[in-house]
Amino acid sequence: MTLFADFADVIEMAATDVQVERKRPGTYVGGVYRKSTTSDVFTIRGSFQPASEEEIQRLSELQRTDESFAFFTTAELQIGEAGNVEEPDLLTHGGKVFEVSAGGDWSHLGNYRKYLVTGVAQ
Amino acid sequence: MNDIVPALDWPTIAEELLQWACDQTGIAWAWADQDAPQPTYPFGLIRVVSGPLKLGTDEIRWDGDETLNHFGVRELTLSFECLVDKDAGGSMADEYNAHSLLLMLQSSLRLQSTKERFQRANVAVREDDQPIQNLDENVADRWISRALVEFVFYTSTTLQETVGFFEAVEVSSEISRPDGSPAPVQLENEVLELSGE
Repeated sequence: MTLFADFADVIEMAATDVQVERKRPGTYVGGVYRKSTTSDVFTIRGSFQPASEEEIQRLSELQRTDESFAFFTTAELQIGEAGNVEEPDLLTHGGKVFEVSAGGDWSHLGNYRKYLVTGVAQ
Repeated sequence: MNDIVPALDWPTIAEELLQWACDQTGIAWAWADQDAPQPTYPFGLIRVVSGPLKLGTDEIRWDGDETLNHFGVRELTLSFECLVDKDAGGSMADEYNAHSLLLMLQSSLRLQSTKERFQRANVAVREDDQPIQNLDENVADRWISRALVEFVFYTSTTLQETVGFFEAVEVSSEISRPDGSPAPVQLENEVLELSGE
């Protein structure tokens, strides 16, 4: 008996097209980070769902009062958390922009990834 | 209108401190608390903990024309934090941990060559004997060697202010009777020269 279950089809049932903006890596000049002015924009399929209180506790204290969602997708996204050298991906949902703040890779068990996204002030 | 110039040449100080840290440790250094991804391991972070703190009383000197010069001594406390990914391997990760890198940095503060390079940036070392704190941590399932030390530096400020002053004052007065006619006492016009000439 295998424990692997493919949830990709389940996610697809509630999925929509989501635009992703991925910033090109910036550079440190004189100890100060210079953001890249260019980015790649592409579309993935995914599902926004309410984030639980426990999931919101994973966010930094500053982000816990921001609007947050759990985001299910099969695509791999860049996360803005400690230890990462890339800038977080930005998702557009309902006319608002959300930053990928945390995530979990369940591709080895359920063929999906679950991310926490938080609103970005525009 | 006052003509104010920057009191502290922070860009020069910041550049010198960052370059010194890079030269002494051989790793990349950046300023902390930026809205930015972290640099690749190993790296160091410099943070302004406090200051500039005013020490004593500033000297105010008038240079003879319309400029007032304020001279003062300031104290800055900066923290230097090192992070090394010991799991990454490579010569740097194998030979050094964060504590040993900061020890090299701390030791170099006593060198005459370091004092001279700081002097060019108008910086002097006040305290270099703070203990290095080991703050190893687990980040994203990796064991990160992390250490932090604080150093206290002196620097000086120069603030210039353009002020106006009375070069010459002319005083005249006439005492009148209640009906407006001139009184018998009338002061001669006098000019007081204040320019020192």
